[in-house]
Amino acid sequence: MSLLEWVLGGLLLLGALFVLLGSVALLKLPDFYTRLHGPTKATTLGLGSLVLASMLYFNLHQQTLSLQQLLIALFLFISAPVTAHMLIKVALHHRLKACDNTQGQEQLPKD
Amino acid sequence: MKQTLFATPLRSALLLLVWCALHNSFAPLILLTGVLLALLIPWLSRGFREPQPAVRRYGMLLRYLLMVLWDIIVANLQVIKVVLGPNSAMRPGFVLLPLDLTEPLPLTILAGTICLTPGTVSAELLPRNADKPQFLLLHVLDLQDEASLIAELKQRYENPLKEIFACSV
Repeated sequence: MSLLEWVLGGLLLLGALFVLLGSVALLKLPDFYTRLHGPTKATTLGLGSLVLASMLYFNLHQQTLSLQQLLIALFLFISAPVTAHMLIKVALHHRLKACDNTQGQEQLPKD
Repeated sequence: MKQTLFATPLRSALLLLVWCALHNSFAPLILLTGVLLALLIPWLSRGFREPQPAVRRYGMLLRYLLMVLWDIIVANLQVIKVVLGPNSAMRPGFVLLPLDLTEPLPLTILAGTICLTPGTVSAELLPRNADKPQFLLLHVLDLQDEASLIAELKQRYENPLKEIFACSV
């Protein structure tokens, strides 16, 4: 195996691991607000490494120019925070219960 | 607002890049159509745009993007550490971040950055009906020290954004 293949394999494994851990966060954390953190963060880095691996593979291994992965990364970085923001806004609107040890709940908007 | 073809250089550059990436090629024909579209689309959509503060310092913007990219990696490791630990050790909380920025575009970038970085998700601009928002409500996954978190967010993200957009505050 060449060095490039090792790097590609490492990136793919790392990406898969981060995506998996993001999903574990969805399953394990106690309430909606904390669960939101897993998919917004861990998944960004996980998909980032998968996209990077794909770019390296096509550009260096296959020797073809491939830039579409950059677009995936770009749109991901734009859409992930917006989605998280909208979801938590809706959760606040519906006054979903936060887990009991949440600090600063008195600061939430009353209306 | 300026009505010239080259009113929004950053948007035009981004459009050209996206066009070339979609085609996976920098062939002359693709570049030519890309440049045409990159000039025409912002011009045709000029009526829909709200005037926004312009980017004053591109070097600083680039540095900010790289810093955020690095912070995303750090934030991921932190979140994973919290996720793998016991739930009872976690201290989630809501924090009000006092804002100096008021313009929509820098605020959007700030809220997006906060969503992607250290264990925080931006939730709401408060007060809701005010002309100028004063606070950004955040949810923090593991809240250790509220004052130092606020100071760090302001110093690390809000101050550079103020300089990039040369806001009047």
